[in-house]
Amino acid sequence: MENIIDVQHLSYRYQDTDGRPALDDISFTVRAGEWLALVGHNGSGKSTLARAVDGLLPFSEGTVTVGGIKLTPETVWEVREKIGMIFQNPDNQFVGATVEDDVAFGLENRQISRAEMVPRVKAALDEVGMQTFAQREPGALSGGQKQRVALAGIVAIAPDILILDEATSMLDPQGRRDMLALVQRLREEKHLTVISITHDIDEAASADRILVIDDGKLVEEAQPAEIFAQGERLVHLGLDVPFTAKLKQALQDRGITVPAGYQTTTEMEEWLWQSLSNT
Amino acid sequence: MSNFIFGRYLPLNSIVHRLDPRSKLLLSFCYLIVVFLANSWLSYAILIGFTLAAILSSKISLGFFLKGLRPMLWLIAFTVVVQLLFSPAGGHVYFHWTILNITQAGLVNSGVIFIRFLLIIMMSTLLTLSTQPLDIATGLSSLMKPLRWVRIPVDTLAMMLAIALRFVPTLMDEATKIMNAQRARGVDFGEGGLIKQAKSFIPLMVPLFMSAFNRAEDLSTAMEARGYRDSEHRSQYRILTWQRRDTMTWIVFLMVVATMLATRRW
Repeated sequence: MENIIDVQHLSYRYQDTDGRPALDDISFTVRAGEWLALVGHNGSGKSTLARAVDGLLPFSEGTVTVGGIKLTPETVWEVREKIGMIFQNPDNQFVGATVEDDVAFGLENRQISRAEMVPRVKAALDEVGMQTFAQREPGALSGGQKQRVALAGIVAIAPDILILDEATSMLDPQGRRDMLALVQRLREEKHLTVISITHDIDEAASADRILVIDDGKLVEEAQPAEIFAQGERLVHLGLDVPFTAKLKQALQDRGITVPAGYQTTTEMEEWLWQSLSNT
Repeated sequence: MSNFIFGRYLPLNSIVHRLDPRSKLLLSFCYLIVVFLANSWLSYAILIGFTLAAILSSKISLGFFLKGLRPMLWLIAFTVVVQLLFSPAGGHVYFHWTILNITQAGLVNSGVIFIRFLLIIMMSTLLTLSTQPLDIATGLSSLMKPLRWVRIPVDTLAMMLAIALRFVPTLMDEATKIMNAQRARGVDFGEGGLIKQAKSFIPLMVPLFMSAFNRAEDLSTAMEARGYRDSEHRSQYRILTWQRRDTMTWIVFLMVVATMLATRRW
């Protein structure tokens, strides 16, 4: 299969932090139709990388080629035609006053006539199962529903590539599962190439290939099975361990004796307030 | 904070609600001028009749309009009293003390002022109760279109207004959350003197502004990623259509105005 994204020797430095570069000589390719996961700690540069591919950051070193078009300030709008991006915070990417207005936003930007927009908005909402919410305001939607509306906005403009920039990280477990299932289905129906930036183990497991970014460098490239076989090391790679385990680790680091074994959130809560009232 | 309803829009399904917002905005504006043209009791009676008819056809209960009057009550009372006491001499003098007079002309004048206030507030309350803020914004930007020729970026302003309206509830929620978080840390909102109260809002405003700036940053990135370049080169999904009921409303309004002008003292 052909490479739909080709990144060569990409480096980027934020102006206000003149120290180490946010991206340091990164090269990779993505095949058409592939699902690629980018994992890494907060601040490792994975979001920066996604933004650079979409032309949202003016990088100076290296080349990015998307669908055969080399990314330059002249071709940036052409490249963006091929990429749909969903961000972390469902609220901060909802532009329209109602669901249908928001789905239409991308079409309006492309100066598509209203006669063509109306059926495309409707079809896109049908696709994500939000047609009954067309007139709703964002305040009346859950986080997961807002992300589905964001997906509908992308379905409406029919790009080749979908980038999920921690798009499920602010959702509850159910919303996260629904969103992933929806992305899977859309990917098959629309033959999308998916790049997902994530801390979520399930999301990373859906991928065909995982790239691990650390400190602006590409440190590992492997199949999900190879990565997950490394057990303990997942934490070092920047994938999420359950919250209670992280809390226990943090307490242990401060010299507090914590109960052994695994606790649910409720058990942990019990134990916490009991030990607090004893002191 | 949560009982504050922006624009106090009441979603009902009446002819007034279904009117084109442009038609309602223009009519409210013309009405403002018309109210000041009336000067005889009969001409006021006609306008009161028209206003009541408009309110009745909106299916909104009168109670909401009276609530809309409440914040204006002191202003109305003050104006009426000033008008009553400092009016020019004319007709029978009921009361006289140094520079204060209550005369027949003063009584009439303050009555007129009171009715004008009432009519204008009723009509503008009807506009906001029956029209969604977003529709008002769309209507305004559509009415301002001609200003493009004098190089005013009408579309950009309309986009800004629409986004501002879109984020009002989001920031309200945020403010409530921050207030609760600060309350949990022992901040008292609405306690103590005026200065203490004002001070207690500082721990609310700082995080609220921080978060608003972060949201703005995220939003602009998301808009750019979705192909937004500028507001002038975009098509419109939300369109306004002038319908028969708008034309009918205007015919009725112009007939009322004509009758009012005929009964006016020239």
